[in-house]
Amino acid sequence: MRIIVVGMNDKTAPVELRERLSVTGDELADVLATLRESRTALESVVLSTCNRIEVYAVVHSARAGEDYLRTLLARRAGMAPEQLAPHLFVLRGYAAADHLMRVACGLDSMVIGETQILGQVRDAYLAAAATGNAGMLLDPLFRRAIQVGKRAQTETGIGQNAVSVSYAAVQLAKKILGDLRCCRVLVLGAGQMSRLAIQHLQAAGVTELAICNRTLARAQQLADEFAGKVVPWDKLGDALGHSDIVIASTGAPGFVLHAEQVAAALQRRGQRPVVLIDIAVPRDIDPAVAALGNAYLYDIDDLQGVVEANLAERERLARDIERMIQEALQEYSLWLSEQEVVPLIAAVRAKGMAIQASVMASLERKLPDLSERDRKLLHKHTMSIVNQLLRDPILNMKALAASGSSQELRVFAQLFGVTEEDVRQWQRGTLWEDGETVLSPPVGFAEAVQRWRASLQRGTNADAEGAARPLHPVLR
Amino acid sequence: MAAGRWLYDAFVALYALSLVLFFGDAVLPRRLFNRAGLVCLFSAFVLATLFLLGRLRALGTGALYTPFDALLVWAWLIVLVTLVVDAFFRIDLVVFLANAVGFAVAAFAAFRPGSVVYAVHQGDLLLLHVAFALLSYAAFAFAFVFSFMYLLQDRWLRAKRWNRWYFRLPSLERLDTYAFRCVLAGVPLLLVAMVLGVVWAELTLGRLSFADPKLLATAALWLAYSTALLLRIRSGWGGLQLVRMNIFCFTGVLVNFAVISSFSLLHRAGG
Repeated sequence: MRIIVVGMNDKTAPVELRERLSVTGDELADVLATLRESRTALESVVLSTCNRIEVYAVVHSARAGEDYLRTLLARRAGMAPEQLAPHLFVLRGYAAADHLMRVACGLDSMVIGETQILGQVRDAYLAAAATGNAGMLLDPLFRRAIQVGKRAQTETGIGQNAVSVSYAAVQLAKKILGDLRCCRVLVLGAGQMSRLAIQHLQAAGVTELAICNRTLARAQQLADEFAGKVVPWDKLGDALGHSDIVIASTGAPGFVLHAEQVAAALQRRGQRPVVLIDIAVPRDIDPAVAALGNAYLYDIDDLQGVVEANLAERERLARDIERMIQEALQEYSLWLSEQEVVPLIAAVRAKGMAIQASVMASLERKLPDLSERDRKLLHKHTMSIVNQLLRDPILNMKALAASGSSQELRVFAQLFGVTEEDVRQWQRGTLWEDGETVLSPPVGFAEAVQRWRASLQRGTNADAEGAARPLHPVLR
Repeated sequence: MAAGRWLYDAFVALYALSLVLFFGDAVLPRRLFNRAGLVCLFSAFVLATLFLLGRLRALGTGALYTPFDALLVWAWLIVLVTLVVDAFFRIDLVVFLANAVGFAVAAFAAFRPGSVVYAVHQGDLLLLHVAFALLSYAAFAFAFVFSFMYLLQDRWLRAKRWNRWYFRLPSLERLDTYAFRCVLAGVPLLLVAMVLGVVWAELTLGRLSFADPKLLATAALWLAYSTALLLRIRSGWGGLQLVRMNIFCFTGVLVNFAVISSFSLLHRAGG
């Protein structure tokens, strides 16, 4: 079994193509049903956003699965598979799982570290889980991806660094004034930039908003839209004294706020600082204001500098997130290995239980006068012997499975007298029902050479990725 | 003390190592540096606690009667608070900066000359006096650290330098609040320490010289901190003025502890 992903994103396909493939909420159920009914995709999850359409699937054969998904997507786009092929990317095993986690963490997004994608990954997973498309392999993989996405956001705060000029203004105000919920905001000008800044400020919790514009009607329109109040232009000085944040974005040809006006307002404010953001070109606020104590003045170039610094910081944080992803992938690989050895553990335990049951039956025959209490006591203690004897071997079996030591597992099974047939019996209903067991006999010469080559390649990849233990075959 | 000396040396060595790691994390942010620094700091804290417990057992009373012990407890308090702050509040860089102060105190304890005992063990009153004084010093040390962080952040914001420290330092408003709260805790603690010291001197010595330089300097410091506090509460005095005042006052605390105590009859050689 292999995990694969076939899809396209903003890096591989133009928007005209992406919109043709895009799966809306209503269509998702149909697409999932088609995938569920196919014999090729054992499990599937469809992730469709404005920047990407990706189909994650668990398939028996990677090649057949890829062909099937390519054809499915081409049919949806109304194109021949060969026409669509250059715009599609296909990833298998480890690369597919790694890609999913990078997507969930926002590392594959147009703006690195954006947070919206995590919700979209979760929605895609929930939809697939609800219809039964996500099963024993994709379910834990997506849950891990969502976990690592949440961890990336909470531990690094990568999404909190502003990447737009208007949001950078809010971020700067927060760095000075802290919580903005109690801050009073004065907006000079009623244009598009003012509107964007107000939207970000209200998202940050600002409730007290005053708008001052030479054309009163435009100020009134903006005030109505954002539940603010209008300040007449001749009352600007008074409003300045009451404001913690001033956003200036008028179309005036010269300065509309002079150092003397701001100095007078600061005197009325006592020691409370004021943040002045000048996003107008030509500038609205006299640069001499920056020299006043308790006044923090920033213009459009400063905000652009903040955005660039934020992007660089996001890149740096992305490296920390990459490490979290590697940890999550190793955990997933370990979990897969443990699942593989579960039938063997169950077979060994069944053997132990059978011995215990036969000992109990023998004791009951030889000691017929045992009371119910004695029988329970004997049962409890004989079970305890079985459990204690098996505890360490089971732990070691899990460790051997994680290290990929199938030869040792075979020896182990032989020591306990467990046959391949016993393991197959316990393998029913698990991930590996139709596949080989951990005790499957050694393969032929040709296949052994192929596996040896694969293991060499794996070793090289593992070195490159700094992986500590070999990956489970599903991820190779 | 000789028996526990290796504990103290190991504490200082681990404390130094943790500081180096936190410095690395401050300059080149790496999660590994930060985690390793925290492990070293926690280990240093455990060693210092064991050392202090050993002193407690050996002396039969709280180990606060010598300048060495007092300085060590001061450093221990700083480590304890930073570990708690890191676990529950996650204020970036405070662990590094506060422990830079803590390590300076611990190093001063290790290398300062003389081994003076303040006074013969005179019961709980003197012990409480020293304990309250050290708690207030710890509060003032944190007020100093937050004030220093405020000055740094203010500098980056005014110079428009959007470097890593700008990202990692909290907002000016938060730093101002933290510094204010630390002073708010330190002022009553120092007042209690002063009152207990006066009562102890009256009861034990029968008289108290108000011309004692340590007494005068401590009273002046308390007045300075109280004035800053009053101005902040009554007239919204805050921001740069308050943090500059905090830094000035903490310098006074250090001078009072390290220099003026040498001229005090009651606090010979420190404390």
